[in-house]
Amino acid sequence: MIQALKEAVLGKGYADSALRKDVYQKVAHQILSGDTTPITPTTLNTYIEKLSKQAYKIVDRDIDQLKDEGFSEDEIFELTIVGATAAGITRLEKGLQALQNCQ
Amino acid sequence: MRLQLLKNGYRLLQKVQLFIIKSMMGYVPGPVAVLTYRRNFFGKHYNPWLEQGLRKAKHWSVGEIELFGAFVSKQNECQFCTRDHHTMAQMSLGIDKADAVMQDFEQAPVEEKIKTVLRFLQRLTVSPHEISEADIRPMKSQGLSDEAIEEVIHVCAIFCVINRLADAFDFELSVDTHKTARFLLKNGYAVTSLKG
Repeated sequence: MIQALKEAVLGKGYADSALRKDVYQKVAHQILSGDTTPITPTTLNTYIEKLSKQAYKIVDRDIDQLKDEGFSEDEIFELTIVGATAAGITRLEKGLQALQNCQ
Repeated sequence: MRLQLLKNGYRLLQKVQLFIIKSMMGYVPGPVAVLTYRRNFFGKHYNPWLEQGLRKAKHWSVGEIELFGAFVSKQNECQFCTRDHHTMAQMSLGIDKADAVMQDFEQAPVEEKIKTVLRFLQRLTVSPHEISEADIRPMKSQGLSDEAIEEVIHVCAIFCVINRLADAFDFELSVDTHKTARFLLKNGYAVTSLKG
């Protein structure tokens, strides 16, 4: 179920497949180490960092800037979902790993 | 909704179903919009996780699960999810208990095992990189099984996804949170991704 979700959001889509993988890895890395690795373009990097750490601070302007950068609504939809999915699945994996280590 | 496609990018059958939902609820709940749009990309796969995690847990009541979800949403400062799931927790566990937990869980009149879970959920939500077996041990000391702990980890992960989508896409707040809560308590989450 979880693997199918991960494969779907990283599979066929409008946004560049490599970029979606970068977004996923960026969010996962931030959760696992507390650090972030930059991705390009900068506008997307800023948006994904906000999505990962303080999504409640996202405003209309953040989406508008992505559109100004040339991202379509479908691409923004996908990249947002990839980032959010990474935030959930990585916490799941981190929590289950801790549970497994506590035997 | 910040994306137009989440307002009008649906197939005909989905549009009909969304129209009915809007007539019944007064609005289209954000999760339904996101889980329905191009559902093969996300909704079709996230929806079973949602239903399994929030409605088919074996070790926790629906009220406890909703309380955990509301609590995680509050840690993420997601107003949309906090409100609706807090209401479901109020309806299931009682207003006083749910409110006390959401206000200051350490002082709330709930079992110590619930407080132990809430401490863990707070850490996994806010400081996930620090999570280790030391965070699991207190829950085991309270007698919680691996399966029970696994279930709360899933709740945290599920809400960490939808909280971000709610804030990024700017989900509309429910017109009548009690109506939404009653609907979800009665029907579960399987109905949130519409085929078409």
